[in-house]
Amino acid sequence: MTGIKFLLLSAFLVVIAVGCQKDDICTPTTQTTPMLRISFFDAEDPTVPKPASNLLVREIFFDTVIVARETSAEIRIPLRVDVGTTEYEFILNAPVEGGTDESSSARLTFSYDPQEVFVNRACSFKVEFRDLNVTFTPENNSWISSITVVEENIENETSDHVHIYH
Amino acid sequence: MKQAITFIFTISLLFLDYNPVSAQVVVDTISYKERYGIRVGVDLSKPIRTLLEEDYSGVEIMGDYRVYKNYYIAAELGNEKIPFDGDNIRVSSSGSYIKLGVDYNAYENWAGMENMIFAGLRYGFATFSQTLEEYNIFAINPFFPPTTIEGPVESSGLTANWLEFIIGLKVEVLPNLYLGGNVQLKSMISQVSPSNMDNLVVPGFNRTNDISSFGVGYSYNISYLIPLFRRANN
Repeated sequence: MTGIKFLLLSAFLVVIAVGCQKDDICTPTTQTTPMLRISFFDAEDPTVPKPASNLLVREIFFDTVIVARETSAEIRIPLRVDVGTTEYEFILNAPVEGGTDESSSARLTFSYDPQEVFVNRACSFKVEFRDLNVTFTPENNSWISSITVVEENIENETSDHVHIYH
Repeated sequence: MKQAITFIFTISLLFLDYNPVSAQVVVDTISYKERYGIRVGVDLSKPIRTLLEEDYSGVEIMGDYRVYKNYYIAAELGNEKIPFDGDNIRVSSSGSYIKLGVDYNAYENWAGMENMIFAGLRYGFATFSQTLEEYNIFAINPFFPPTTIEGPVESSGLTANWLEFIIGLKVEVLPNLYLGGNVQLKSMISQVSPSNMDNLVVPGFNRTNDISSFGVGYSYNISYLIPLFRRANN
């Protein structure tokens, strides 16, 4: 009869195993679609980080403000996953409502090749961006003096992808 | 004193298994011959799931053959379409599978009874296709609206191999007619997945697991024994 007891115990354990499914939730630590990480540097001395003062960053297609009048040396902005380009307006010294307008605007176009990559059953697919290229207008008399792509394949957010000199 | 108790205890153990009948030489003159044959059946749970569960359909036939005393060779053959509906992805897999192996009957029947409480091993093989019905591109940023991509995108020519530990019972409810049930613990050996993703569900294996190689299954079945010959079991 010990054999039967063993069988019943095993059946019980199998039933418990059926109930537990840990892989249904997409955990925040999982690397899904990355954001674009941009750092600002001094145009005169390219090794010195230089925060862009009161920067407003607006995505043009969805007309969404991503960064609202912040002064920081590093920002993270999303790229559109459904098309190969995302257009942004970067406004330096964005005016407060009713204040005097001393702003300076530049339009940045990010173009890339979006690649769908399967993560797991909970997170489904993410997009990685390959072959990033950045252009900006106006090229002359802009507050931006130059833009360098330091990592053209965007797979995570552990390091900078783009450096902006101003 | 303590040694004496230990001694008495040890001696008493020798008599624990004492059976006055076994002490005599008794020849059991009644030799009952047990039936050997092929038992064929169908899984009842799969047609019921087909009726109750949306997007699921499945059938399974099974058979076993008693080879020697408590040992049976056993097989299951089935076809299933299994959906997986997650938070961010919806797929379905459909295809056929075969499971081959052995069962060991651990139940000591009285003469004339042939019920089973068994444990067994199976090798499973499935050939199937997986269709990606719909999925989201997962992005944590709250700025853009979610991107949902509609299928269907079918990946065919997929295969899977696995080992299965099975425990269950089969009870004779009418002459030669058995009702049974079992649970299965499966471990994936190898699989061919679509080029850009994983197999989320596999016919015969059920849901795969992202964390380990294990899967689970169950069956309720009805089967009929076709007796072929009788043989004394001792």
